[in-house]
Amino acid sequence: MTPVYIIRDFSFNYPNSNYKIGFSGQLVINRGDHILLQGISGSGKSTLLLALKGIIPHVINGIVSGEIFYNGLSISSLNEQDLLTIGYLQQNPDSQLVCHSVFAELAFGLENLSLSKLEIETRINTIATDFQICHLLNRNVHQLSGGEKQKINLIAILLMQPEVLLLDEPTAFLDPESAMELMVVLKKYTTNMTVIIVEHNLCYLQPIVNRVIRIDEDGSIGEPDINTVNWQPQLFVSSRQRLNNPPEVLTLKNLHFAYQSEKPLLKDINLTVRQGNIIAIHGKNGSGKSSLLKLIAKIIPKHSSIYWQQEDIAKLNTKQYWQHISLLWQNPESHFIFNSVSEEINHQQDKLVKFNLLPQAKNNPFNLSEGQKRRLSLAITLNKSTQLFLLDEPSFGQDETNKIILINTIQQLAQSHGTFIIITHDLAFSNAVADHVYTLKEGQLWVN
Amino acid sequence: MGKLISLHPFNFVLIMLIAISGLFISDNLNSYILITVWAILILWLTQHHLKWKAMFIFILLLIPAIASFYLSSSLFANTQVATSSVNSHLKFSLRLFSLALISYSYTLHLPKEKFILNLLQRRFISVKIGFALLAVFNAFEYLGHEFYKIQLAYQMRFGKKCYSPKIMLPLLVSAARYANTLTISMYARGINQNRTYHTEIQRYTIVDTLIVAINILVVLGLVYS
Repeated sequence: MTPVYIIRDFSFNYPNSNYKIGFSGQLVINRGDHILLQGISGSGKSTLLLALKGIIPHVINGIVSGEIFYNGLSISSLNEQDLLTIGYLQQNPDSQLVCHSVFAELAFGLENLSLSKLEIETRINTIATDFQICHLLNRNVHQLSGGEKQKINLIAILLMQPEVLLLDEPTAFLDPESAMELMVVLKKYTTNMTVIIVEHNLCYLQPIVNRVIRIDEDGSIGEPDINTVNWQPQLFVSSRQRLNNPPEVLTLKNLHFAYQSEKPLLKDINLTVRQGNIIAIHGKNGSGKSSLLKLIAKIIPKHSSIYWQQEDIAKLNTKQYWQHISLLWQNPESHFIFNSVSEEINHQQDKLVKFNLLPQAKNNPFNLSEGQKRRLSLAITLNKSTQLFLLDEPSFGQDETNKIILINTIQQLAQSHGTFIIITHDLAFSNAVADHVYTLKEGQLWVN
Repeated sequence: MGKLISLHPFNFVLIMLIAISGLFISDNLNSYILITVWAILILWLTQHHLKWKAMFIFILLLIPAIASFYLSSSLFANTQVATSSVNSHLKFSLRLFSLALISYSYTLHLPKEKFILNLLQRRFISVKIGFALLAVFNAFEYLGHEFYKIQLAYQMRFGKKCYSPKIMLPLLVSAARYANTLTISMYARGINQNRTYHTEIQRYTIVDTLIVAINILVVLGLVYS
């Protein structure tokens, strides 16, 4: 087998930061390997992908020690064109988009390869049919849902026919159906490629992965037997005591909603939420889950459809209504305002311990890893003494241990009369935490 | 009014520059008004949807600034040095108003993506600068959404709106991170100077030249009539 990558005692210090990532030992990645890269949140998986793409040290300068060899050559000695055979998909789907329209976005990489107009159009039309995205080609990229954006980002990379594909949580923003579709097409397109995936949703990966690499807390790299991996992890949590005949807190009556001049997004939605309930809502990307959350939070005003403790929320004073609710945005950074993690949660030591953030207490929130940021934003949201918690993808980027901590925290709050509406694509998480699970499909809520 | 004729992206800039030059050459109150009306008329004839609302809000915002300029110049100008009269203060104020309104209206309606692509395809600017500019235009939309979310998150958390510049911190970080991710995305997809384009270069036709020539003649006529 031909080695594509050889990684030897690699470590990296981010510029102007104390954040250091180090890997000890040697790792050989062979041509055709399909690797799942595992490790706890903050262990440096994303940094390793950046280094494998050559972005470290070519774009992000810092202190590098050790070596990474790509096809026998040190990655630091390769130029931009040599590195084009490596495709790299980042976590955040929004900020990777360069162009305004989907077609232009897909064409961007092919134009950089100096292909002819005809070749570009042929390649795009073929892959668009495979991925069933022909209807999106003329759309503005900013009108797409998070999942659709991530799909476009991935297709844009696949179009360039790379030899190596580095994927940083490709399914994080996708609904289960889209994630499965993505994996099927990925399998079809990557048979001759070397693929390295960082992913927490293991259930989608079993058909494509043939090796598992684990990065431990101390930075040592190990390779567990692939047969020992639990591809369908269940989140075991103790059952909680339910409240006795709790009062209704939120009622949705025939909720109908459409954005201007578009077809209805939500149709005749009826839902009764009682105090202490934990409700999870699934649904395809773009099905209207986040819009539903915004309607409940009164961010989008709506008359005579949503009632808070029997009162129409349209008639309630918004400021007073917001005292009763706490909302977690999908992007954790929208919640940060102070200079340290500790300040963000009023220096509450117990919260730092609970959310595994004690070692980062003095760090700037913006310098945390994606998983740590998500935990901090959750700590901020759940720290407010309020009645209704609206959470958009709370388990994103979390490993099993942190998911269990999160479930326990939510259940404790529910026991002390907190009510939860959770939007999530994470089936294992919602099955473990929620009392009622619904699916939003064709504008209507269906009980799972 | 529909679209009578379509403007080449370059003509947005050229017509704007012709109108602005006219404002600088002219020393006549009527010319200022007529040049402004002409410039807006051209936009009206060439655009499917003129952004009246945005232009009107801009005028509303502009009026206090221009009014204060007029008042301060007429009240505090050294009357012995400057040949001051009510008319000359009014002229200066109106020139400033016309300048701002024409520049804003043309920038607002400029098809930015097409304009930059035209510059890129003709190799007037480097690929890296061109795509960085394109990304900046796209980022405005993204950052607008982000700012709205940050404000809402703050209001829900603290029960009041945030007027402190501190609210800008997450936005600035978000902007920096956006730029960083985008740079990586462009780099990872091999942006280079020898790239091709899937769209044809929008040719600068004789009609486009004619439009510019007519504009020069009209503006000169308005200045010297």
